[in-house]
Amino acid sequence: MSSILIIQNAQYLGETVDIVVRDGKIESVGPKADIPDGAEVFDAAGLKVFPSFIDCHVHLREPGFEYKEDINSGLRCAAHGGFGAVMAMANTRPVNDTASITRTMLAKAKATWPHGPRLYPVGAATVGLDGKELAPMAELAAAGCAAISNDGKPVGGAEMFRRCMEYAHTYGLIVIDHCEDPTLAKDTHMNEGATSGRIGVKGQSVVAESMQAARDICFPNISAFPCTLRTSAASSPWSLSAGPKNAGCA
Amino acid sequence: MQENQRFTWPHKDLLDVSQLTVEEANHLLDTAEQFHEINQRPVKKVPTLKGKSVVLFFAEASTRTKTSFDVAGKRLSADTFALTKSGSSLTKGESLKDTALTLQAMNPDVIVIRHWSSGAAQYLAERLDCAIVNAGDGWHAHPTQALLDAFSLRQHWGRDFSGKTLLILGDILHSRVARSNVILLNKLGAKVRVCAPRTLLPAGVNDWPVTVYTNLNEAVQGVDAVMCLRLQLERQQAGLLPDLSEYATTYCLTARHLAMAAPGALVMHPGPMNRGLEIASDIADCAESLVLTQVASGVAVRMAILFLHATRKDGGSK
Repeated sequence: MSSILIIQNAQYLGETVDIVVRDGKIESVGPKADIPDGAEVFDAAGLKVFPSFIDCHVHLREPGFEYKEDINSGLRCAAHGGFGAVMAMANTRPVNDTASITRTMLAKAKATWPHGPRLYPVGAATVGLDGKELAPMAELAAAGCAAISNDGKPVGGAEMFRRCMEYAHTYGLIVIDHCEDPTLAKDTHMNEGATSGRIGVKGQSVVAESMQAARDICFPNISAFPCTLRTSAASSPWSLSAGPKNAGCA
Repeated sequence: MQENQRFTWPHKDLLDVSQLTVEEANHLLDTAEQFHEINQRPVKKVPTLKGKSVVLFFAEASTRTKTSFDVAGKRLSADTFALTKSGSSLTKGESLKDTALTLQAMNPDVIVIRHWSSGAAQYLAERLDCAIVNAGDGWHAHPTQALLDAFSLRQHWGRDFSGKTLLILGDILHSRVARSNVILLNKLGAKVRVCAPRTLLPAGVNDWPVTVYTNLNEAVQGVDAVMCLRLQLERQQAGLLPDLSEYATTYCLTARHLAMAAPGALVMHPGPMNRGLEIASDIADCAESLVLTQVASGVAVRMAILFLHATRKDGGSK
C-alpha cells in the first residue's frame, strides 16, 4: 500500500498550492488536491515551499578532522537547512586528491544518508593542495568528484592555475577558485578600508580578490568557475565580461 | 581631593579616548595636576588607594609603560601585581579569556592590559567586573599615552588647544599612539597633521580629522609641535620601506625642519627613540623637547586614571 502526504496551502512561486507526495515522490503541485483515505495532511498555511537547495561550498571535515564535523553530522545539517545536495571541499586529512579518498567519502555518505542529501566531493586541484603538481583529475572525476578546487590555499602561480583549468576542462570538471592573491592576503583579518584603518587591524585590499578573479577569467577555454567567497563589487565587471556561460559566483 | 567629590567618574573602563567627553578628559587631566604636585614632594606617597589591588597584565614587551603604571600605583599605596607574557600561562597556550577569568578570581580593582591584538582590552572589559585600563592594544589605541601627551602640552598651551597645530610624524599605519592622539587632540581643539610615506599611512586616513602629508618639508610649516613616532625596524624587512637610511633622509625630524615650524615649537616622542632615524639626536635633547616631560606626565596621568577607576564605586573619594 502506498503512503500519501498532502502539503496544503503552501506558498509556491507566489501561488497557494497543494502538493501531493506519493511514496516519497512529488506527484503533483496545483490548486486544491483531493484528500484520499489514510493520507497524511500537513497544513502549510503561511509557509513558503522551495525546491531543495544546493550548497556548492561546504567543509565536512571527514576524513581527518572528525572532531570538528563529519559526513554524518554535516549532511544532517544540510537536510535541516533545506539543502538537497552539498559540494565538500578537499582540505581533509589526507587531502581529497586521490580516488580512494573520494570513494571513502561517497561510501560514508551513502551509508549514513542513503536517501540524501547528496554529496558531491570536490577534488584538490593540485596534489596535497600545494599548488605544485596537478592532481589526478581523470581518476578523481571517475571516482565521483564534481569539481576541483584548492579552496583556501588558492593556486597563486598563474601558469599552474592555467594548467589546472585546461586539464580540468578535459574531464568536464568545474574549477572553483577561492579568488584571493596570497601575497595581498597575507596576515590580513578583514577587508581593507576606513574601519580597518580606524581600529588598527591589518586589512586585505579588494585587489586581492578582483585581480585573481580577473586573471581566472582572462584564460580562454574555461569550462565554468564559480568564484568562491566573493565579497567585492570590484570583481563584478570581470565576471560579467566572461559571460553567463563561463563564470558564476558562490 | 575635594574636587573629585563633585564628579562621579562614569566609566568602568578606559579603553580609548574616544569614549571621553571634553569635560571628562579635562577632569582627568585636572586630577593628574594634583597628583603631579605629589610627585614633586620629598615623600612621594599618599594613602589614597591603600588596600586596592592593581594587576599589570603585559602580554607584549613594555618597559616604560609598565614601570609608569607600577610607580603610579605604588605612589597611591595600591598593591601592584605584574603578569608578563613569559611569566604567564599565555605562553602555555591558555586563552585570553581563561587568563582573564583567573585574574578576576583574585578580585583586583583594576587590570591594566597591554596586548598585541587590537580589541583585547575591550574583550576583557566586556567579560570582567573590575576596571580595565587599556595600556595599548595592537595598532588600535593607547589612551594613557594620548592623555599624558595632552598633559605635557597643557603645561605649555593651557587647557584649550584651539589655534594650535600639531604634526604626528612617522609610522601612522602601525601606531596606536597616533590613533589615540588624533582623537584626543581634536577633542581638545588642536588641528592635527600626519606625515608619512604612503606605505605607512592607514586605509581611510583621508577621512580622519587630520591633514595628510607625505612631504615633511611641507608638513612641518608653521606647526606648534611635532610628535615623532618610533619606526619599528621590522617595517623595512616587511617591504614597506626601501632602506632605513632613505627613511632617515626623508622623514627624520632635524633642526632644519624645526626652523620651518612656529617659533618655539615643541618636540615629542613616546619612546623608545631611534636617534638619527625618526628624530635627530640634538633635537631629542633640545630645550623644546618634551620627551622627559612626557615620562613624568605619564606617572601623574596614570595615577589619576588608577584613582578614578579604582574609587568610582566607593561613593566619593576619601
